[in-house]
Amino acid sequence: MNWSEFFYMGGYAFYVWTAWGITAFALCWLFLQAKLSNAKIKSEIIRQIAREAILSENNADSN
Amino acid sequence: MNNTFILFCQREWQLLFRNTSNLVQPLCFFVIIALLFPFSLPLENELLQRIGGGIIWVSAVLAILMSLESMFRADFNDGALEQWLIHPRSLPLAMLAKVFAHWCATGLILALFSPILCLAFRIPAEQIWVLFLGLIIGTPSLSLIGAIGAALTVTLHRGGVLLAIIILPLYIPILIFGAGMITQSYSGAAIYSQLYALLAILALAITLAPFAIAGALRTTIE
Amino acid sequence: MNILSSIWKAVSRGFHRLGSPREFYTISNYLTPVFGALFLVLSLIGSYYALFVAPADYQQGDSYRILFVHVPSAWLSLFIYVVMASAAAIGLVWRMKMAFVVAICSAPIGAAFTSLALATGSLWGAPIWGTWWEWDARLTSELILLFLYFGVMALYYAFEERRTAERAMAVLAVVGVVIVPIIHFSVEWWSSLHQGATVFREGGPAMPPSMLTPLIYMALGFTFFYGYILFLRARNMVLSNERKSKWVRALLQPQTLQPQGLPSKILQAESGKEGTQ
Repeated sequence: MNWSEFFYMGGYAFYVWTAWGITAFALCWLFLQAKLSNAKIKSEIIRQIAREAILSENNADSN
Repeated sequence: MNNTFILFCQREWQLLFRNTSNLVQPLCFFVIIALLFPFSLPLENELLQRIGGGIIWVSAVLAILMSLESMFRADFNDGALEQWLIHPRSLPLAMLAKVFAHWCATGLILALFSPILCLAFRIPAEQIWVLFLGLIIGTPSLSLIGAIGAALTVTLHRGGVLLAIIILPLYIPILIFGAGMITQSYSGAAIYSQLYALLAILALAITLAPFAIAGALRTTIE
Repeated sequence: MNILSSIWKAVSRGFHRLGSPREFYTISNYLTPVFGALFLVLSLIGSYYALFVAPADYQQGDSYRILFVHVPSAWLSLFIYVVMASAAAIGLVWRMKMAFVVAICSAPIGAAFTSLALATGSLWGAPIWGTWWEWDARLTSELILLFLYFGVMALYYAFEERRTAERAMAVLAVVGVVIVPIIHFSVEWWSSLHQGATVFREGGPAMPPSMLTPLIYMALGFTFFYGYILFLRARNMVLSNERKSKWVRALLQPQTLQPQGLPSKILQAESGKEGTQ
């Protein structure tokens, strides 16, 4: 397998590798964005639960 | 007279023709936009003739787009729109009447004025007739499809730009066929295919758009 | 006849089960990794075949290998629009929250694939046609499709109330899908006037199997990728929308406590905020 010939892609190296590259980039970006959003939403909800737990504790104490 | 369509038409006509600036504004906008192009493009007469039809079509599309914003705005602000949602009359029929009246005040007037605008572009007599025909058939579809967008964005504060974004892609087929009619006639070929396509789009719009408008109104209001 | 009716009953039960956000979340716990794994396997095999095994084209040399990402992207962009519009219609007719979730989560993915199809198409056309853009029927239709996606997303995020937003977006998606064939037909007619002699064929209508196989692999792989990302986003949206419900609370409650049951850092941070107030 001639690697240098493979990367050269018969003279079209720039076009082919940019095309495949932005495809890979786009797929990775979609994936990472979904994961980051997941972490963000979960941390928001967890903080909200914690806040409510403290509020109910305070109410219980004052009562 | 208890007919929903006629009652709504009468109401809309009264409101629109009460203030003649309602009728003149789209026309002025249409003319001004069309006349901007000769200023900005280095055109000889030959070229002006060939692209004039397309320019007039684009100006008509933009003028109708501008007038769509205010279509439901006043009725929404004074609560009439909500009353229409509740009363037992057929909402799609009422909306058809409303769009018809709107077309009479915008598209019809633009189409009737277009031959005069053609003079500015030195479009030959044959194509003037083709342009007029295309506008007469195409502008009702523009009003109908645009009304769907207006119904979707009526409750938003700054819905104007959003309206343009969602409606303009849907306008592209009408623009292609209407302007294509002129180009085709300019090169001497028959225009029947575009004419039939425009008529088909009009038939589809008249039958389906009122239901889409009614559905959009029910969706966005309450 | 009984088999058919029992199959129908099972399908419609499954359909209505998926309509509940909680059920969807549970089902997607198993389905999401399956989709992800299928995507990886199919795409890796397809890429290997596309880049290493498939022979170079007679006319276009090695540049045609862009086809193996361009065509699947274009197919996906259309497929996702149809899925989005169908989900929107189902949501409007059956009033299903999950259908709206599927529709709005699909829109950005569809827009991404449409942009990808346009970009890879440009990169393919530059050395072959000699130009970065061509008013070809398919390119123009793709561009209009991109604007349709943007319109749907813009309309959804313009509304403050979620229920109004998803129903307005659904109406627009359904109207759009009715007009998409008209757009495609009109643009094809229009570009056939402009095209003239050059006819662009993507590898030719009769593709040799050495090219067709990797294409199918990549297309299937991308489809499973769409399913994977759709489910990830839909799960996020379900959690976010249902955050006040009991099952979400029960799901995330354990993460607020440390194993010994002592208040975690989160609770300390939050109670610190409370104290200073």
